[in-house]
This record gives sequence, structure tokens and C-alpha cells, in this order.
Amino acid sequence: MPNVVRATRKFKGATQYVQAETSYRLLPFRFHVVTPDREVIVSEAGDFVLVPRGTVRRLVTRELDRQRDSELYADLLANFILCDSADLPLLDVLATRYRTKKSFLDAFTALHIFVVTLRCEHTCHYCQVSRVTADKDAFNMSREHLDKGIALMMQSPNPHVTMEFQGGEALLAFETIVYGVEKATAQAQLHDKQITFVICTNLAVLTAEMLVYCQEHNILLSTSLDGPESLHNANRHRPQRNSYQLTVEGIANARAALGHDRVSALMTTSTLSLEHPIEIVDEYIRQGFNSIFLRPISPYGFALRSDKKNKYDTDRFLDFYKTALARILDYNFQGNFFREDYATIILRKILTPFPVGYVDLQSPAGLLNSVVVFNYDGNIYASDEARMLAEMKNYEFLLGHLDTHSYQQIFYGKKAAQISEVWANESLAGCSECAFQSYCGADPVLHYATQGDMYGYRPTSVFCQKNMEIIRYLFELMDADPHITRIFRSWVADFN
Amino acid sequence: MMEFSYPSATAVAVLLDRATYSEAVIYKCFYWYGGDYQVTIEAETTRTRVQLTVPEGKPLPPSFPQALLSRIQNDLVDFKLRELVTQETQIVRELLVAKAFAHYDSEQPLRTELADPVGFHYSDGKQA
Ligand code: SF4
Repeated sequence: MPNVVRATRKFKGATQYVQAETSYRLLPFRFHVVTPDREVIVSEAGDFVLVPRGTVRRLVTRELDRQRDSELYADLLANFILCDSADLPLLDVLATRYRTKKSFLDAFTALHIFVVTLRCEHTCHYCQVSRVTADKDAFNMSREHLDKGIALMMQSPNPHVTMEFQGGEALLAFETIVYGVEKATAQAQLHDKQITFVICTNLAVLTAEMLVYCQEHNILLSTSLDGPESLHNANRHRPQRNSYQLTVEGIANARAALGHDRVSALMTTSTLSLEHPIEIVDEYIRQGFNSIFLRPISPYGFALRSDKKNKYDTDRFLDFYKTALARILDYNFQGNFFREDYATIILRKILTPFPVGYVDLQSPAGLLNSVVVFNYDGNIYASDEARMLAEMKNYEFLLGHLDTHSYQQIFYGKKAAQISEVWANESLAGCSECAFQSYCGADPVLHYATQGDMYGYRPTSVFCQKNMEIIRYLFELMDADPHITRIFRSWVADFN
Repeated sequence: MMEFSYPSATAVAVLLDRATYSEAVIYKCFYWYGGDYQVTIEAETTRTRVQLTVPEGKPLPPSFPQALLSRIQNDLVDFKLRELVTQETQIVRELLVAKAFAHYDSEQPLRTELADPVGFHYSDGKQA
């Protein structure tokens, strides 16, 4: 610590700390009505204060009194809603907090999804992309395309990249995965990059040899578990109706080989799932998971066409979500730790100064900034959902091809520029005035898929409806019960 | 300042004084009604006329029009407050974003009272 002046370590005289009776100054903030009696005020950097309804009016019309409302005043001051000095001494601090919230942009694309095959032995009704075929080589990624994808991944400025193998059922192309892992490991050493490998698999064709390989190469497994046996099997069709059994056995085997935390599970919500929120949570608890990600069904691909089975309105999903969350909180009240991941992502943004690397809730959006997809046929898409759209013959988010396009053309090309005009919620109608802006994100692909326009129309957007209500609800819960806030903080502390 | 009328059984019109509610406040407020109603906004001499009509074939919302009127009244106040905050803080917001993304050495400690309340690094807010 150079040139430290110790003389100033003493406190100054008491008169130095008395505030002059000047009026306060507002800092940029937004607000949202949480309940008829309460509103939340959110600073530009995401700090918040929950206050009685009408407080913003009192604040703006200068009715707040530093002495009479001393506790509220101190809260507003501490959370960067107001400032009682004309020269903004906290601007640097606030700017640093703002920058920290956007620090996920510093390193650029981390997640590189390689769709190694479209083949699958399941025929799930909501699946967007898979193909059932006896031809082993149809719909597989070629070695040349794998090489080119890895070369592009190595050009990412991010020192830590993730190579995620997806399908169809990725393990049906296990030889391709092995080739990719070996090649990328060697390349990562050359380029001085950390690399994480993930295989997304339903575990149905998992063998002991594959597990040995995953263990030797530190590969994470991400699987799908939709709930209890009847629900999982109804969602995930196999001729033998044994998807659940294979998944549960696969999870046990993978945990034994790789370690408990090296296997994660994702659930997909179908119309049928909406009737079983409690049973789904209980199944995850029974299977020894300490979290669940309650995801709505994606409105893409085959899912969009399978209207009768899969179309459900967001209100029904929100009811489902709240019932499941209540069950999870109950379990936590009993002294257990069990987390809901979507809430935790949002809560981390609400309760800490840090961003979360979750591509669907970012502004600027996660596509390109955080994720890119190399499809089995060499096409490059801006996100996983973008490739699902392409399976419906809609190529709006096609960025180029591994054979013909350079890194520059893909990541800084015309299409990327077009997308970048609508990927920041700060500049979107509706979002620009929304108090939840810093907790939410922008999703041009979803808006294009559901509304035919990347920009999106918030009053009828399922993305907005879902996020606005979930974020509001999380504030309502925290406001109502400090015990819930403590539980939420424990989820955030454990999450990275 | 605000006058309501009922052009039909499925429509509500509101006349707003432009001196009180700017065009921006009106558009930002009624943007959110577009999912449930057909919204038309017309400028008159000193006032703006906004009409909300339940789309044909859609059932009337519960407690129509009373619930809608009180929603409009609350929303207009809220959007007016938002405009006041935006106007008052616009320069600070722009400065903040510019500062946040300006090139600076992140190793360099911040020079504020808050960053150094006890005076370990600087005397009188200046680098020693
Ligand atoms: S999508 Fe909706 S909830 Fe999210 S920031 Fe925009 S307006 Fe707010």
C-alpha cells in the first residue's frame, strides 16, 4: 500500500457529521406496485427498498422529512435512491455497482453448444428437434465441422469456455463426443483456456464404459427428469415405457461413478405437469437433488405445433410455479435445504451486486454474448431456441455456416448487428420504465417465435408476463416474511 | 384534468389535460392496455382523448368499467411520477452509464469518502 497517510485515521469532530438541512436529490430509480399496500423502489444498479404504497409520490414531491422519516430516509440513502449532497459523492460507487451488474459482458461467449446428432431413441411429444432413424450416420455432426466449431470456440475472448454436447440423444454419437473432447482438450492447452465439458443426455443408452470416460475427463452430465414415474413416462415416450426407470438408474450409476454433484437434472413442464407441482418437487427431493429448475415449456419447434397437448397459458404455469414454490419453502421451513433455481437466479440479481450467467435473463441478451450453437449440419445459430426455430424451417437467427463463415462474420456480422438492436431491455418499450429491468432480460428469439417480431410487444408477451409476476411474487414473499428472506439468502449464498 | 365518458357499452374514453399529462406519459401508460383493449389516442386542442374498447368477441372484463377507471387513474399518477423522476435524474443516469463503461483501471481504488471512510488511503479525499 504505497504512501499511506495515517494521520487521517482519526474520526473528525462531531460537527463534521451533521448534515446541512438541504433538500435531497433523487438518483435514477424505477418502482413497481407489489401489493395494493406496498411498492418496491429499485435503483439503477438493482438495489431495492420495499415501502408503503405512496412513498414514491412523497419522495418525488419532497414530502419526505429526514428527521420524521429517518429510518425510511436512511434506507433510501443506503440503497442509492436518493442522495443528500448536491455533488454526488456516490456516483463512482454507483457506477462501479452498475458495471459489476454488467460484468458478464466482459469475457464474451462462454457456452458453445455442439449438436452432435439429432438421432434419439425417445419420441417425446414436446421434443422440438429429434429424429428416430436406424441409419447411424444420418443427422450426425462430421469431424470436419467439429474441428471448425472447436477452432471458433478457441477464438472466443473468454478464458473459460464450456463445450456442451447436445442431441437428439448425444450419447448415440459417443464416438463423436470422444473425438471432440480429445481435440478440444489439446486445443485448450495451446490457447491457454479452461474448458468444461457437459453432455446433455436422457441416460437411456449410458454404459459403464461411457461413465469411465466421463470420469477420466471430468465431464458433467445433465439429464432430464420430469417428475414421478407416471408423469415422466407420459412426457417421454419410449416403446418400452421405461424412460423413468432408465433415467433414475442412470442418475444413480452416474453419481456413483462421477460424484453426486457431477450429475444435474432439468425438468420440462408439459400440460400434464401443470397438474402435479407437489409431486414433481417431491420426486426431486426423493432422488436426492438439492434443487429443481421449474421451467415452462418452450414455445418452439414441434411444441408449437402440438397445440392441444402443449399449449397452456402462462397463468396456469404461474399457478403451478407458486404451488411448487410453496412446497419447496415448506420443506425449507422444516430445516432442509432445497432450492428453486429460477427464483435463485432472480434473487441473486436482487440480493447481491453480482450478475448471473443465465442466458435467458440477461440484458444484453445471452445470444452471442454468452452462447452460440453449432448444429450437426454445420449451421451456426444464436441460441438453442434459434436452432429449434430452424427445425421449423425458420432461419431468422442463422448466423452462418462452419464451412463458410469466419469468427468476425458470425459474431460481428449483419445478423449480429440486427439482433443487437433489440437485445437490451433498457431500450425496449415497456421495459425501459420497468422496475424489474435489472433482474429481467431480453429475449429476441422468443418474441420472434411467439409474436413474429424480435422487438416484442410486452403487454401480450409470455416472457414479460411470466417474469414480471415471478419477480413481483418474490418481493411479496420477502416483504411478508423475514424467514422467507433468510431462506432466499441461503439459496443465493449456495449458488454460483 | 381528467374526464371520463362512455361512447358505447364496451368502450371508455378519457380526456386528459396536456398541460398535466404529456404525450410521453400518455403513450407509456396506455401502452400496457393494448393487450386487453383497442387503444386509440387523439390530440385535441388542449387535451388528449384516449379511447379503450373491448375487442369484438371478447367478454367484458370483471367490474367493467369501474375497475378500468380506477386502474387508469392509478396508472396515470404512477407514469406521471416516473416521468418526473426521469426528468430529474436524466443527467445523473447518463453520467452513471458513461462512467460505468468508460475505460478505467479496475485496480485503481475509488476516491470517495465512502470508499475510504476511515482515511486509510487518502487524506481529504485526495490520493496521498
Ligand atoms: S420483460 Fe416485462 S418484466 Fe421484464 S423488464 Fe421488460 S417489462 Fe419488465
